[in-house]
Amino acid sequence: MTEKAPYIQVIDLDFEYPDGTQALKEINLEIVKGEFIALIGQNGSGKTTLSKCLNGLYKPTAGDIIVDGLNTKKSSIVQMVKRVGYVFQNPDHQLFNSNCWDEIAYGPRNIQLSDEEVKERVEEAIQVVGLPKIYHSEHPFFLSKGLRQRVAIASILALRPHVIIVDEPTTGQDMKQSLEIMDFLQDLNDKHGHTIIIITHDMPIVGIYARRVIAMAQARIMADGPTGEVFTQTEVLEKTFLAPPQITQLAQADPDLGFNPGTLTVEDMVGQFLEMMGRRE
Amino acid sequence: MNKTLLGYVPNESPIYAVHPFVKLFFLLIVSLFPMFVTAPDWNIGLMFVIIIFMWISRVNMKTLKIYVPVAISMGTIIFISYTVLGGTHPEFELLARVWGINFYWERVRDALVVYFRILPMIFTMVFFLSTSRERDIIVAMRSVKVPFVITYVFAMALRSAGMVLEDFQIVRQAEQARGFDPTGKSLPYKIRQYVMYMIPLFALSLRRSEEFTNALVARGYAFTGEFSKVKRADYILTHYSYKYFDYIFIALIGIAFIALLIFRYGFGYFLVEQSWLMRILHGAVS
Repeated sequence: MTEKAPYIQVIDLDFEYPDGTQALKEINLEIVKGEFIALIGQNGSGKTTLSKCLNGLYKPTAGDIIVDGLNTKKSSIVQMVKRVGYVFQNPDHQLFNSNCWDEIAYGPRNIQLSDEEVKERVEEAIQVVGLPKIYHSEHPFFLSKGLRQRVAIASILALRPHVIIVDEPTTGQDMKQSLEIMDFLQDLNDKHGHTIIIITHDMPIVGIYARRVIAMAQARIMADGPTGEVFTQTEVLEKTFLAPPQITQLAQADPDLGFNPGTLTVEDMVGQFLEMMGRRE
Repeated sequence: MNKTLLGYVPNESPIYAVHPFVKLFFLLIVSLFPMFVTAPDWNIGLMFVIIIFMWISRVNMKTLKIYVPVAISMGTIIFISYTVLGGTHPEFELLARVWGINFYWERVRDALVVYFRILPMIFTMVFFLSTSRERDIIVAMRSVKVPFVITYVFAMALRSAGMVLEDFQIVRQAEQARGFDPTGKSLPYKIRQYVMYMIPLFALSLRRSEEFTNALVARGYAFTGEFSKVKRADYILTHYSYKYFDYIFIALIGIAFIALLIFRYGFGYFLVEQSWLMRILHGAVS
């Protein structure tokens, strides 16, 4: 783990829904700038609740969350959205305007920026997500799901938050679109320096893109560490009802073969294989 | 916890021992009570009885506070309709004249009567929806042989209401996540922003209704035609049976309704003229 100062600190966090459901118990974690994190776990494990706590949509029942020095309990929603953006799982829940341009401008206008700055931020967000000009005046609801997702992400980017949380970015998308969205998120992470947190059940995607994995089950964090390391903790993963990507399982199938049990991608395995063959020769 | 149409009720709630038809019967009959009662005292009493039933059923009482704005806005509209827009009535007792508007005791009284008739009906509906799941409604209606197509349309309409409420919560959060903070803003600003909720809610409802339709057709559902005449197994009904206390509840609700009618029309009870609450209020404002 990096030694940089944490951008987000979660301290003894508990969260209980009004119906009495204990969604989070004794959560402690730190997130530093520039990380690419996957939050994994079965449905109802607390992933979405935790991420909504991180951007202040939910206030902790107990404990504290400190984001960029601000306690979410005491901060306004405007302060929080400038720091942590949240892209909802279903883009249809967050499209309020009659064309894409206004949709992306909606957030900056809400935080009362000048017209010039709104325009600048919208153009910047459009450029980053690569939304073609023909769609700028289109109603967001008539776009494909992939494009709606992009508009939703652009509308969060326009607020220029440092951390972007994306809930289930690949659900309902084919492999090509999934990879496109994930490549785009990786670009945001690599080139633009955003900290990315994805919530997903898609383990191959986690293996390819995430550098850190937080595995949750029954409202608690069961494992937290580098992706390859977490995927070797098979007992812990069993508790979360998740299995590592198939390529990782293959690498772990027979330890005598000498593959790294934390192998995450096919390329990684091919590399190891070629190295082994080279050694033999 | 069991998810009901308006929230969650613990599995241990005694309400689950009651046959769903009893709950539907309670809704249909008890909602009628206030129609025959003009004295607010009795209708307020009925509201307390329903609150006690909610408490016994372990409905989360904190959720009742979400109905406070509804109750206030409804009361305001009724009061304005009866007083400000109530017209000139020289035959009535004038309480006050404000900015040229006459406030008559009879109009104030009538507004209160109407308000306290509607409130218990809403409480009864909230009690029913807070303790019933969609399948309870299907079972209740099918157990009295309401046609399948009507049962499902009714149940789906109620389910949609629940879904819209859920969507509303998510859309509200999504708007907050985009920096919308109504704190300290003017009412017109808030209204303008709240109107924006309607766009995603309508779009989601349209998409969902199309999916619903396709899913139903794919499962052989038809409102008319041969499919609608097919005899159905009603497997779900096999999970429910009437117990002796179900019959007792149905009898008690029925007897209470008949007694209400007899006392109301036979002996002239439950009239606003007999209301001690109204007498006190009249004395205070006259």
